[in-house]
Amino acid sequence: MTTSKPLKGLMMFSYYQRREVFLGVILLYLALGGAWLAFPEEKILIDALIQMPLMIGYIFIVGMGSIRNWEKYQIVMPVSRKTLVASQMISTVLGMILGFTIVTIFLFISSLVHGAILFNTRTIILFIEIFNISLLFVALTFIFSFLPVLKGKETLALILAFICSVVIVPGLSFLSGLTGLSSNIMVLLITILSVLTFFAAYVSCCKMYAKRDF
Amino acid sequence: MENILEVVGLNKKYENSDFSLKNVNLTVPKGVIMGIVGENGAGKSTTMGCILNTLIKDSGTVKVFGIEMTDKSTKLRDEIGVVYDVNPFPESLTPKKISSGMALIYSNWDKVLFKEYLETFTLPENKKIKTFSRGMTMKLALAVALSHKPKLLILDEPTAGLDPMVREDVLSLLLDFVQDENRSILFSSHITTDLEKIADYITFIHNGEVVFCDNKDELLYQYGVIRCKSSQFNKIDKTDILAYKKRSHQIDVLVANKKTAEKKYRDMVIDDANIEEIMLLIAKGDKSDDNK
Repeated sequence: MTTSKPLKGLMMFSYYQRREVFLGVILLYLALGGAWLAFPEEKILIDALIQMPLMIGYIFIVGMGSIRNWEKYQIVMPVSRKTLVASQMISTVLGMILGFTIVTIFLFISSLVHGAILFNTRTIILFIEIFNISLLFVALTFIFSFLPVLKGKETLALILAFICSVVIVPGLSFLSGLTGLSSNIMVLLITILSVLTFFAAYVSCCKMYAKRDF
Repeated sequence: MENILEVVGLNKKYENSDFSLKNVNLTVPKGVIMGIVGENGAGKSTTMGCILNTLIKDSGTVKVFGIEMTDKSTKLRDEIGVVYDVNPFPESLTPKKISSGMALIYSNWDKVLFKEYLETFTLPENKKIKTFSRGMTMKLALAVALSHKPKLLILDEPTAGLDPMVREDVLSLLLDFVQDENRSILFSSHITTDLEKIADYITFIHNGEVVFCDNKDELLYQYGVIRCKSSQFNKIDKTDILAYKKRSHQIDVLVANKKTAEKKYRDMVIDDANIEEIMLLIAKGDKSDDNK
């Protein structure tokens, strides 16, 4: 994936289109993080906070193809179709990374305020699992929404991707229990699988996008 | 004359549709406005789509400035301005934000020029596009298309749905654009009067095929429409008839050479043909057996 001025321009447009919802989610994050700092024993709050990055990724995926005329107009701009795919995927991942950064900051503040009791194995494993689910979710949503049979059905693609990603990651974790593989190794393997799926999604989406009529 | 755009043997077929673009050939020389006319579904937008690579052509070549246009031809697309018949921009954007984004995408983007166009068109810089009228969004699309200083403008029905005042503004801007004779416009429209006002050449597409591609003035000068009765119609040499249409009290007959027809059929009324009439007679009229 190349970083270039046109890519930045496309990502800027992608952000501008979603800015209001994006800022809304950030506010929700801050509210949730604040609540968690106040009530650190409430596990539901930390679980919800860690799952929030999925929501930022969701903002960037939803509406990706809903502005059909804009999508067609982007093709006539001096950018390749590959760059267009890259801009969508990078925007989504950056959104997710921002989400995880905020969560990490809250975990750090919490450990300063309440001691390191919440930086435990459970929280870290949950954090990594959500990262893996998010990455798989993004990768699968892109693959599904670029499939010719699901053209114009982004919501269906989104639901399918969500179901698949929330089944695959915990499913594989469950398998680790059956095979006797240590959970740390399994988490590492799932992370590698998620990252590889993401790059495979980029390559296959570029191929599908290259043949698409607008 | 040097060509800015050359389309040779363009073919495109859609899945689940009988429509196809058949062997379309088109050249747009420097300094020229080429108008594409045709009824809805004739293939105008498909031709434009194949030229711009928004549609993947089955075969044929599209050359811009002598270089074949592909997905990787980003430098070529830097030289092309495009306006569609609909607002292409996300409605949550403002012209100012569009300018910031386009400055990163187009190498020749001129923020000052864009601002000047906004002032010329009296468009607000900081208002969201969702508050714009149709005329305003079309003017904005033109401002965007012109602000990266393209050498070729490709306009797909840009004046559709605009009121006469705005249309006049748009047409005069397009005439200014080709003044230096180094830039060209490919302009599709079914508002034939717009093309009669500004086009130098007319390409008529019907059922996915190019029926003719001629100099507009020659076309209007040469073509004629004979208004005749059934008895007179039978006297017309069938090889002279391009197309005809039977109406309640007369038959309109399109001929390719008005001057010859005036000499040959002195007892018949022969009018000048306008683009709309030529288009309608060819698209909707009947053909004489000799001209099929």
